[in-house]
Amino acid sequence: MVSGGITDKGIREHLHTMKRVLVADDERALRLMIQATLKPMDVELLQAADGEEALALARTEMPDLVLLDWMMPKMTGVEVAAVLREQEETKQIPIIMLTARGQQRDEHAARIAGVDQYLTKPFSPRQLLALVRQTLGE
Amino acid sequence: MRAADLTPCQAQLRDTFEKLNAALEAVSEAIVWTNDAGAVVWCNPAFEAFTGVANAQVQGQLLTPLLPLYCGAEMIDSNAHPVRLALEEGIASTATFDYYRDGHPRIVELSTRIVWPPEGHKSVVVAIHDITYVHDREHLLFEQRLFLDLLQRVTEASNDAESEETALGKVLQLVCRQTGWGLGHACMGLHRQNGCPADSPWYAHSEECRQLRLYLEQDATAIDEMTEAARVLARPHCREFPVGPLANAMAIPVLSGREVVATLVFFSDTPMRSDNDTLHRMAQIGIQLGRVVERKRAEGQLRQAHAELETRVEERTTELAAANDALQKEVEERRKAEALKDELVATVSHELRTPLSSLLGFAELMLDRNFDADEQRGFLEIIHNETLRLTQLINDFLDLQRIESGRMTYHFDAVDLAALLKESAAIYGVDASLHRFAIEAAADLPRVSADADRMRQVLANLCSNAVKFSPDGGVVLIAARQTGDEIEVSVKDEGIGISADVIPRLFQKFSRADNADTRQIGGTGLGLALIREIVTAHGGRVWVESAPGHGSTFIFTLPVAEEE
Repeated sequence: MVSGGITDKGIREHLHTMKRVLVADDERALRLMIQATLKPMDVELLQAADGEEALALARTEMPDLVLLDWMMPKMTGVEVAAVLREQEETKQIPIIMLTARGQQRDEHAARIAGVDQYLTKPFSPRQLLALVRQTLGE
Repeated sequence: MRAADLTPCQAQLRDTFEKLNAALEAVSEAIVWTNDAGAVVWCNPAFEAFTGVANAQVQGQLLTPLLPLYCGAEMIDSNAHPVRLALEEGIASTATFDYYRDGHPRIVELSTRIVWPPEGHKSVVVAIHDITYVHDREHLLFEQRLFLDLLQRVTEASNDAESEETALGKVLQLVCRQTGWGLGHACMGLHRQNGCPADSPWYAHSEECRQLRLYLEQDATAIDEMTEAARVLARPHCREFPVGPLANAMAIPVLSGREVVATLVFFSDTPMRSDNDTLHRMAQIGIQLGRVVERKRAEGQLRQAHAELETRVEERTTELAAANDALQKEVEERRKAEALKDELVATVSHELRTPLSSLLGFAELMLDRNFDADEQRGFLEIIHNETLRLTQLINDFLDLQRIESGRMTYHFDAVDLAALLKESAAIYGVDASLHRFAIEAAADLPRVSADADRMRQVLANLCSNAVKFSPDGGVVLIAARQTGDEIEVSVKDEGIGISADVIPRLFQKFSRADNADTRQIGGTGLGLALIREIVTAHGGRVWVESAPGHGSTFIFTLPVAEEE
C-alpha cells in the first residue's frame, strides 16, 4: 500500500502511473503468494477476502486489473464478474479468474459472466506474472 | 201287402217313407215325435242312445220327464221346458241346454217343431244335437287364444322390463289378471329363500289378496314349500289348502334350460283350476320367462363385465400415471443426486487445489527468486501448514468415504472415557500457549461402549476446533457426565462462537466453504461430518450450543457399556 506525504514530484508522477491490481481470495496464503509473485512489477496491490469486499473495492478504487477467486463467501467470483460487467464504469476492467474449479463448463460459465482470462489452481506464478504483464500492457 | 199289389202312388209313398226312415236312423241327432199330449210316439235310434232308454220303453211315455234340461247346475222349470212350450204355447224354439247323461255334463242344442197335419191333432218333433264336443273344442280354442295372448304379453313385458325383478313383477301381474289367481310372489335365485323377502317382486290383485300377503309374511311355510316343490320337480306344481285362508297355490318354475332360476308362486283364497292343460300352459310361461331372464342375466353380466373392464382400464391408467410419477420422481432424484455428486466433486477439487496452489506457488517463487530469510521462513511455514492440511483433508475424506460406503469397521469395547479425555487434553495442551485445558468428569463414571481409536479421533477434532476457533485463547473445558444410560461428553471453548443460521448445516460436508469466518481459520470442512458419522455409528447423537462471541459447546452422547 502507498503511504507518506506526496511532496516529491517524481513520487507523485510515479504514483500516478502506478498500476493497481485488486486480488480477491478468501485464502490468506494465496493472497500472500500473489503478492510475492507480483513483487517484481511495480503495481499497487489491493486485497479483498470475500466477494462483497471485492465488488466494493473494485467500484471505489477502479483498479486496472482484478484477480478473482471463484468460490468465496458472501458472493462468488462469477457473480462479482457479472456485476462488474453490467456497470458502465467497471465494464472495461480486465478480469483474470484464479479458481480451483477446473472443469471446462466452469470456464465456459466464467467467460459468459465476463471473465477475460481463466487460470486453474494450482497455477504457476511465472504464468500468472506473464499474464498480468500482458494484460496491463507491459 | 205285397209290392206288386200297390198302386204306383202307394209304391212311391212307401219308397219315400223308407228313405226318410233310413235317413232318420242314420243321423246323429236324436229325434223324437210326440202327440199333442206330449207322449212319445216315435223316436230314432240316436234318441235311444242319447237317453239310454229303448224305443219300446219310450213309446207312450211323456217326453218332458225324459229330458231333464239344465242351465248350468240349475234344472229348467217344467213350465219353461221347450217341449211344454211347443205343446201348450205353440212356441217352437232352438236353444242350448246343459244335460247330464250318466252323471256326465253334456251340452245339447234342442229344437222343437210343431207339426200340424191336415187332419188330426198336432204333434211336436224334437231334435236334440249333442254339441259338447264342438263346445269343448271352441272353449279349448278360446283358452288357447287367451294363453297365447298371455304368453305374448309376458314375453313383451319381460323383454321391456329394465331388470329381472321388474320383469318377474310384471309377469305376476299379467298372470293374476288373466287367470284369476289373487296373489303372486316371485322367489329369485336358485336356492330356496326363507319366506317372502321384502325386496322380492309380488302382486296382489285385490285388497283381499293383500290380506293373503300379510298372512304369508307371518307364516312363510306355504311359500317355502311351493318354491321347493317347483324347484325339485322343475315343472308347475299345484296344491290345495284344506284349512287356513289359502285355498289353492300354484308354483311355476322359471327355467333356464334345466336350471330353475326363479319361481313364481300364486295363491288364491278361492278354488282354482289346476287341470293338466292349465299346468302345461303355466309351464310354457315359466320356460318363456326363463329365456328372457336368461338373456337379461347375460346382458347384466355383459354390462358388468363391461363396467369391470372400464374400471380396470381406469385403475390401470391410474397405476400407470402413478408409476409415471414415481419414475419421474426417481429421475428427478437421480438428477439431484448427480448434481450433488457434481457439487461434491467440485468442492473436493476446490479443497485439494487450494492448498496445492500455495505449495506450487511458493515453491516456484523460491526456486525463481531470492527472498530474505524471514520471507523464506514464512513461505516454508505456509507450505508446511498447507501440506498438513492437505494430508488431513485426504485422511478425513477417505474416512468419510469408508463410513458412507459401509466399509468402516468399529471395534467396540468398554472404554474408560475419563482416561481418553485426559489423553486428548494432554496432546492439545502441549502446543497451546494461549489455552488452558480443564477436565470435569466424575470419578465413578461408568465405562462406555465405544471404539477407542475413533473416540480419540472425535476428541482430537473437537479439541483442535476449540483451539482454532478461540484465537484469543481461554479455557477449553472437556466434561463428561452420566444422563440415564448414556454418557454426555462436551467440549466447551470461549471462542468466536457460531451464528444461528450456520448451525443447521454445520455437520454437513464442506459446510464451512460458505462461511467467511471459518474459512479464515482453515480446516478440512469434513471434521464435524466425520464426528457425526462416528457418533451415530456408536448409537449416540451430536449437537452444538453456541452464540456468536460467546464460545461454542459441542456435545455428544455415548451408550454406557453393559456390565460384564
